[in-house]
Amino acid sequence: MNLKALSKHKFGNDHTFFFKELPDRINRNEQIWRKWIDENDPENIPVPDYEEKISGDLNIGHFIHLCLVRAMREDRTVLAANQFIKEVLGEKFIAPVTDLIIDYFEETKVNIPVLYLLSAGSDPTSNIDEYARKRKIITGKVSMGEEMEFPAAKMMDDGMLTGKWVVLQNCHLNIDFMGEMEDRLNPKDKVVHEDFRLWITCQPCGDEFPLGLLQMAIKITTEPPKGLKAGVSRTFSTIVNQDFLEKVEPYEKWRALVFSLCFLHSVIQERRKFGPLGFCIPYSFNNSDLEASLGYIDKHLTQSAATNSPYSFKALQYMVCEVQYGGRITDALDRELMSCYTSLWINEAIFQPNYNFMASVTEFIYQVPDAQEHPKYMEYINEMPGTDNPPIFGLHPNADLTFSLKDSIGMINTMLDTQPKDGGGGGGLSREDTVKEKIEKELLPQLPPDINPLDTIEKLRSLKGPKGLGESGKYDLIPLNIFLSQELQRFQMVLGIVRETMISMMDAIDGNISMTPEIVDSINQVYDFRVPRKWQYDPTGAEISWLTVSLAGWIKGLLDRYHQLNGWISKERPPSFWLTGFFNPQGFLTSMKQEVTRQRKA
Amino acid sequence: MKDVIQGDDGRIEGKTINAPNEGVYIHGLFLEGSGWNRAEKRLEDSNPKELYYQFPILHVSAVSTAIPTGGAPGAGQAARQRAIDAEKALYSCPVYKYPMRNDRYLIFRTGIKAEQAGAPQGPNKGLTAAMKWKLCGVCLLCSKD
Repeated sequence: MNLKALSKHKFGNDHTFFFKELPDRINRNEQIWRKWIDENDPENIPVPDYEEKISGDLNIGHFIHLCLVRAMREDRTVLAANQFIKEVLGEKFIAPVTDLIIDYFEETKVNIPVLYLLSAGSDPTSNIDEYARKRKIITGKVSMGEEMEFPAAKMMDDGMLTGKWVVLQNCHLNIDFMGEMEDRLNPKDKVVHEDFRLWITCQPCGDEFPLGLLQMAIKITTEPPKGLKAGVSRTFSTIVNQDFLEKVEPYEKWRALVFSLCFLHSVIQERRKFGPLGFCIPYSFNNSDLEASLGYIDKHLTQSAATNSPYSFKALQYMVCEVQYGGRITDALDRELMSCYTSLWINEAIFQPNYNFMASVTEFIYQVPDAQEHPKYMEYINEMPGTDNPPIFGLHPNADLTFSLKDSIGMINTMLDTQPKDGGGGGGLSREDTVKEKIEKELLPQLPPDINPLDTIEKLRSLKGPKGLGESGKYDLIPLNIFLSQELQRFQMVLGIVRETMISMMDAIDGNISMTPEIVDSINQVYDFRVPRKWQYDPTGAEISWLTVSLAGWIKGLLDRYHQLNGWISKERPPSFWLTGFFNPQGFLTSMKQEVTRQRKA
Repeated sequence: MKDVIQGDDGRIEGKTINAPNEGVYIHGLFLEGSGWNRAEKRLEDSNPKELYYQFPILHVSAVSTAIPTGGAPGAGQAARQRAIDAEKALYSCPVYKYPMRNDRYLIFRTGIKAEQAGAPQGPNKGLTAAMKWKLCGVCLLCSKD
């Protein structure tokens, strides 16, 4: 698919087909290409047929390489792009940035604030505090929210007068106040103390953030280090210390539970990166969940020791899975997943010496370290591998492929979003003419005929169901036949909308009706091979049809659905149903259950 | 007769089939997160780089969840135990409309055979076959994109 698109793609101003001969070459040399595609890291291995061109052409060689990797191994796109940047722009553009507060403080001024864009799990406030202490400056903090404008404004006035720093946290909760910030930072009537600085923390919040402030501020975004090792190491340096390890008796059991829970905490945080394969919903678990869980375990152990009763792991599992972490989990299936982890890792078994968290993982043995001192734990954590293999999460190694595909697609989509929307289409037909021709010659003739509701009722009456259900001439009352009539109604509704928008697009292009913004959108979408919004959503934003990325996929969906429904109504019930093709698959199953129940009763 | 939907895999696609006497056959589902052993009709580890498997035709029907009454004392108990044991060998697999998994797109759940008959206990005690597939994030999808 990608290959074909690439071979037909025109590059540059002179519209050269760089890859015109690509499909041909692959056909001729199939085995060599197959071997290259199946490599683990094709971006590091010479590309068949093209290597000479890539290494010989300093101008576009690297770009050719990037295109080929993107077309054939989408999952390696990010890595290939890294290589590309390194070769063309320089190494420093891909190296991780580790600017310290001191590095950008130099650039701040009384009226140039620092704006932190928060990402999950990062909080710069403690860094600001620390640096303020070093410079012997007092900081005042306001956490924004409803009706916090006044205290915040007061603190800023005070800070400007006496030279304090002011930290405004979570400013996405109070965008209106941010709008005043530009004026407030440049007061006309008073002199501002030279030590005054403003720090803003804010979650990314779309278009609403005031542009002026955004332009004048120094923008920083922090990303917490990724991976299990970094995660466990972080909790062991912030929450856990030697005193904590000796807080509850019996120490060795307490320590095992603490380590196991910290490990569990990192595992579920890292698991999010796998998208839907990991969790249905990416929850933002944070340290407070871990601390609350540890707090409960502390109490339970102390109580059990006092009353000399055995530990109830059921209670511990329940508190961690359903109450503490479960408080954030809204999807029932995610909760089941969570309970797998807790029943596995909050358990008598972890008290065994050298308990192994996931025995099927062999490259590194993740276990409860046999140690008493905090530094020993840190030592063990530092030995953990820097990149995590999916099996430690209980996932198949293929999950890494899912993850890197998702990553690559995300990167490409971000780049597409930053592209100018109406680039100058070169030569040939205009945008409107292209769309008109496409609708007239290609799309409209493909549409199936309208479904006549009277005709439907007639046909349903004589459409037999399973054995022993309904009477001849009254078959329209069989549950699945009722379902079919509902599906046909909804199909006709979508079909009507599609036909109508197609015709109004053509009329508008011809100048017979006026061009509304809605029609312009539809035309642009058809031109870009995307599905017009009206076909997929109603004005309230509810889905009315099937969601696909491309227009061609959507049209195919329309025809396939018509084929199933039409075949069913005009001939007979198909032996096997294409579940995907129903608007209301739950309704389908419910009707099926009703039929089985009635069959049994008879 | 209660509203439990239970599926067991029917015949492989491509053959001419007749509609079942009870319930329906459905097709066109994709398995994500694990592989499929056609011969033994059960889940197995995926092959490297294969993210989706075409799932065979699924027979979906309604079954009674009522506990059988009458008979010898303890018969209900035994039947219940059998049902629990049978349940254990199954992975309750969610079926979603799209790869985006959320409440709205969850259509139903179906029991799929999770375990190889007589397979030795895995190295992790307490990790049942059903849990293994749960951790793998196994589900059936109506559409891959």
